[in-house]
Amino acid sequence: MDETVDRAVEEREGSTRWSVRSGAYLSGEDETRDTHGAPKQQADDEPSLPLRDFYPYIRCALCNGFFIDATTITECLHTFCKSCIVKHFFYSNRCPNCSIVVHQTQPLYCIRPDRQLQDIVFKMVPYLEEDERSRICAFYRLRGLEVPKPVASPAAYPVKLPQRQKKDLVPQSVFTIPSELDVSLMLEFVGAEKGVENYKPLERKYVRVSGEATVRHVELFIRRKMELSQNCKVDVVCGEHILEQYQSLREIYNTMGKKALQDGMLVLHFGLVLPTQ
Amino acid sequence: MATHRKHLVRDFNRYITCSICRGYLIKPTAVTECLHTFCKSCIVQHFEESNECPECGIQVHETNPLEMLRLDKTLEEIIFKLVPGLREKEEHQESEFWRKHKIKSNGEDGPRAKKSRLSGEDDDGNGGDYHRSDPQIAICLDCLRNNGQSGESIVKGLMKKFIRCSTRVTVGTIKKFLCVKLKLPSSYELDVLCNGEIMGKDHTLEFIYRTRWRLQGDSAYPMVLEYRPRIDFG
Repeated sequence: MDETVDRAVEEREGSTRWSVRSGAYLSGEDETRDTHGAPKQQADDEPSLPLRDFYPYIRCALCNGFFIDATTITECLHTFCKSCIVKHFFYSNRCPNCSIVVHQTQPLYCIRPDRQLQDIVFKMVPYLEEDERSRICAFYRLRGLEVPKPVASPAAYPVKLPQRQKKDLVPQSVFTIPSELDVSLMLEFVGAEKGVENYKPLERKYVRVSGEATVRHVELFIRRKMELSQNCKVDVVCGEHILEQYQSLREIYNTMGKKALQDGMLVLHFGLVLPTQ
Repeated sequence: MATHRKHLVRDFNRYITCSICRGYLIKPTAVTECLHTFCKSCIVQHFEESNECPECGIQVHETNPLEMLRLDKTLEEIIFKLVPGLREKEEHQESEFWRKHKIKSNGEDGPRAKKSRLSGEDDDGNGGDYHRSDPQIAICLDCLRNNGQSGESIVKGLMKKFIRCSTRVTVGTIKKFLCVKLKLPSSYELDVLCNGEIMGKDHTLEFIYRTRWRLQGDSAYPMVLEYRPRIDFG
């Protein structure tokens, strides 16, 4: 309650200062089309309109400042600042302009934010939006609160990646391909030794990893994805060589050369074996 | 101080154009559920086929979305000021339309006075007959004496308290009628009661007759409505 009142007082003082300025000039275009469509693209000889002509429509009747968080009463479509009308409804359930009863008991149910009118006001009055934004940040910073983020417009849809990534190696955002993920793998399952049971098939065999990853990481990935038991062992083969756990993928990449690649991907075959007793 | 910004009208186009017809808003009309604004003719025609807001898709009203429309005079004045010549052109087109319409209708009067609240029923009625062809009802408006009130009340009995009117008249209209007849200020609040029960302002006389008056044992004719100064409970 106190914070709201303090903020409202600060905002109203700012708005009042705005209202006494002569403000910018608006321009109008000559309309020559028969329909009431949008005017054609010409900017010559436009009459100028002083901002003062719009004061009756863009100022709040309660605080005499420009609309801040313009809020409209749905019964009569009269608009006020949000903080002004909310405070007004503490003492009355009538519209300040036309005195109709907005709601018998809960007039706050019958107000809606009027974004269209607020956008018009911000466009007409120069620097009002930037000034208001800075005052909001100062208000919240003074009280040690987190500044609420403005409502962003719908962001562009994130681009779907064609390949999966190992979570152990890529903790950051999954919507961009970091440059260090420079090795593409294709994991081919060659079969399981007799006695190995209860494993899930590897659903996606294409992986993009960092060249620093080792064969051990690949084994851990396979064990996790196929839910292997502890008494099972994964053998990773590249070409005709069984790989050691300490070997890094970049090393294998450089050693094996072209014959181990297929469509630019390093092909690794793996099998499930029982450990030798 | 920095130089003044100068805006062209087209900078405001995305705020003052109708998303249905892509033109400037003519008689801008807001859907009260979401405050999206369209031309009056565009949104009324849209509600003939759908009851959802064209912009955000919420269901405006289950059966009668026209009840949720309000003319936005503030936005209309802003648009007429911003766009030069739009007001004169619209008035000219409207008078031309009614001139042609009058010729076709053989004696139609000019456009009916604009109502601040849109209603589909008004469009259905013929212009000028003022609901005389509606089913009629006779009512008696009685002043309810409040013994507890100190001093003389500003609300008195009517000189002529028997009225015949359309069954579609609402209690709100009765209240306005009483304020005019009793010379009360327009914002004066009255309670209208039937059989001791307060009636809401949106109740029609037909509704009251069927649900409150006819169901009682005493169904004398005409229907008696009582009025008194409004009593605030709490």
